[in-house]
Amino acid sequence: MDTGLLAQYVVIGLAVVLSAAFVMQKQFPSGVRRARIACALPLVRENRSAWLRRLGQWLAPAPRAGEGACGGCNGCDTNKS
Amino acid sequence: MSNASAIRLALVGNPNCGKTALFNLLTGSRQKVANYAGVTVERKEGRFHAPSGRHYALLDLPGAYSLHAASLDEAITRDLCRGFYPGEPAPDVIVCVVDATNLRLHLRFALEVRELGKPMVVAVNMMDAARRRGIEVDLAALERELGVPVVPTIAVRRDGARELVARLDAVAETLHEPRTHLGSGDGALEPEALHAETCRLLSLAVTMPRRTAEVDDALDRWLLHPVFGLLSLAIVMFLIFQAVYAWATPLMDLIDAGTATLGEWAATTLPQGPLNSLVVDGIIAGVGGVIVFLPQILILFAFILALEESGYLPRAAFLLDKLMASAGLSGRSFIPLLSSFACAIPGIMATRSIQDPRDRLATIIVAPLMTCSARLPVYALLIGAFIPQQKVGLFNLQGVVLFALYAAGIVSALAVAWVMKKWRRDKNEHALLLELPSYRLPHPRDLALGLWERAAIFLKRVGGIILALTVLLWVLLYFPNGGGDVTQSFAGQIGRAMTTVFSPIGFNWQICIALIPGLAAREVAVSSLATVYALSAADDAAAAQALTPLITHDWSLATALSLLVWYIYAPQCISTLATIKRETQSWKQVGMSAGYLFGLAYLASLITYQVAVVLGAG
Amino acid sequence: MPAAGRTILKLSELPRRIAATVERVEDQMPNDAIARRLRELGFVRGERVEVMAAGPVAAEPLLVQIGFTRFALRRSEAARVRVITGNSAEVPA
Repeated sequence: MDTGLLAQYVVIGLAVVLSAAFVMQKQFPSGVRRARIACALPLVRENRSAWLRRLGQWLAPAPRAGEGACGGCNGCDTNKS
Repeated sequence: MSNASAIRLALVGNPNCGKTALFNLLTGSRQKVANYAGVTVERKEGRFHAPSGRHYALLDLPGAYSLHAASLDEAITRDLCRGFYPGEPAPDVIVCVVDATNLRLHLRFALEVRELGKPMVVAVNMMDAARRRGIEVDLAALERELGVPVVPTIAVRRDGARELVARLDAVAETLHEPRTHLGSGDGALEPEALHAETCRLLSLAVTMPRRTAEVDDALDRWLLHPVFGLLSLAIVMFLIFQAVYAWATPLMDLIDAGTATLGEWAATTLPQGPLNSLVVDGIIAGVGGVIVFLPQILILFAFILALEESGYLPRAAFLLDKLMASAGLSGRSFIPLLSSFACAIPGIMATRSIQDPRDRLATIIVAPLMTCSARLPVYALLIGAFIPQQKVGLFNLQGVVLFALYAAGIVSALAVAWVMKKWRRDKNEHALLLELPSYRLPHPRDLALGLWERAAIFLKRVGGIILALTVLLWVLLYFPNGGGDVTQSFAGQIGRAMTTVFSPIGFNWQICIALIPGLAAREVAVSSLATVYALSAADDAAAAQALTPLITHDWSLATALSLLVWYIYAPQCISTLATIKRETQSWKQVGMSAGYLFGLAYLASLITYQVAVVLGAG
Repeated sequence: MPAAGRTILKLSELPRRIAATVERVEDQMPNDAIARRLRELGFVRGERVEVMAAGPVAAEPLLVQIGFTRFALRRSEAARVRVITGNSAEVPA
């Protein structure tokens, strides 16, 4: 496989991953959030090496804004029109 | 409690007082929309800072006629103002918005709010409309009598809230001081006392020229007339659809030409190989195939927005109320169902204003049958491909068919609601009590803003979910045999497997596979079809063709009609089902909704297809 | 004004474009939410009321003007409101 073709496949692969992630985030936001937490949790433990923990922190989703006041329901992304 | 960083304001008022416009004026785009804890009522919070530098957090509470709550929305407003709502701190200052053209009704509410004894400011909105009608409001007198600051606001003008903000700053200064309790008692006022006080205030502070704007009365004489009213409603609806076709065509041709040029340029500039196919057959063909329908969507919405702004819509609800009531829907279902013409999701959320839970459920269940804007590209594609561009008398045939599709959705919704009504043998009284606000001339700026929002929403969908799904679909169509025979690709095989179920209704494998990404967004079916056909094309010349002539050539009229009918009914939108789950809190309702809609879709398509084939269109 | 010239009737029976004054709103059942709502919306004693129009089918709903506001009411809702006609005194604006 020549490098031109390889480069094309890399770009395509990237586009696919981004698209898939986007669709997952839009259609199943709570599922994605749970998955991220599940993956990040084992990585941020005390006994892990520094870069693994940084990876875990990057992976973990941002804390939900206004969790206390609004009760943390899924309402923020409601307007889909 | 007062926070050093932001003062908490609560915005209250009757529905129809222009509260939302004021909220938008103050907070601009710095808004956050969520839900109140544990209930499906929308919570809108925004922030702004005054020229003085002070920061404010503004909470737009649900509109309420009275603090004696008759619906969930009103209960939340009441509890929140009192500081009893769990999880929400009490507001520091209440801003009570009243409509200057209707003070007899709105001042009552302001008096109720004043009884709460909290710091408040009364914003007398729509002062410009009042002045135009000759209504004079003596704000100083009102302030003197009410004992709270009273300011004029004009929510539709850029600086219309200037005085309000200045007054809020003044009030904020005094928040820490000990206050005297306002109002005449520690409980709520009796309606009689409230009314007497309102009359007293009105006699002191307001001069009305006539009982009501003469324009309103004159218009209502005609537009609410049993015969003429219904006739004008039908004519208005019909003309809107005609305009959608007549005016959109030149713009659509422009977009088509642009897409084709872009596609050709990319095909020749990019190196040959899979990337070329992704960009040209996938992205440009797919996205271009949907964007071309933007002009039609915008024209339709321009009319809907104008109707909304003008105050005509409650009149339409008035005319249709008996019809809707016989189908088991209340007149209050009208506005949520109308919102569903844009998208069923805000329509379903708008049902919160319906008191009766069974009416509300019926409205939620039939809302997806209202032809949402995402169906429009699919309809437009099929009509453009199969319905000849000829005139029937004065009318454009394509416009007539589009109108018929919308009408079919409405009629089906009434039929389903009627069945539900018979099934539950409901003898309850359905309250109406609908206010008919004054007629207004739609403000061009508001219309332009509304259209801009709609266009932005559409383009975001295109650049987001539609683009993403098109890329994923392209992958399934291109591999494993790299651009060779498309029927052997992953997607091709899936599609052909699906035809065992769908061939009785006339769907070929291309349609079948396009339906799957169409579950995330209805319009994606159009871009998916564009991509499938672009990849199936025998040579470059064929690939550059727009989708429309391709399907005219490939499909039978029976198939096209069957697909149109499928789209009237099928719940091709996971997000809508998710919203139904959120609003009803019941998987059973979601399952039944999806079940009955798919069942109805299949049955209707089956009948359509088989009958059409028998009649020679197969 | 002579008492003989006044009649009390239900709002749903009031002919079109004849001005009347609200006398009271009656509960049709214990704890009638609709009646309470009507009172809160301004259907109180002494308020001027008029039926402006009616819907196309079965003369329902009724377009009622109370004070300066217009409402669409069902006949059953309007039936809860008792009004007096023949009262020549105008409620001050």
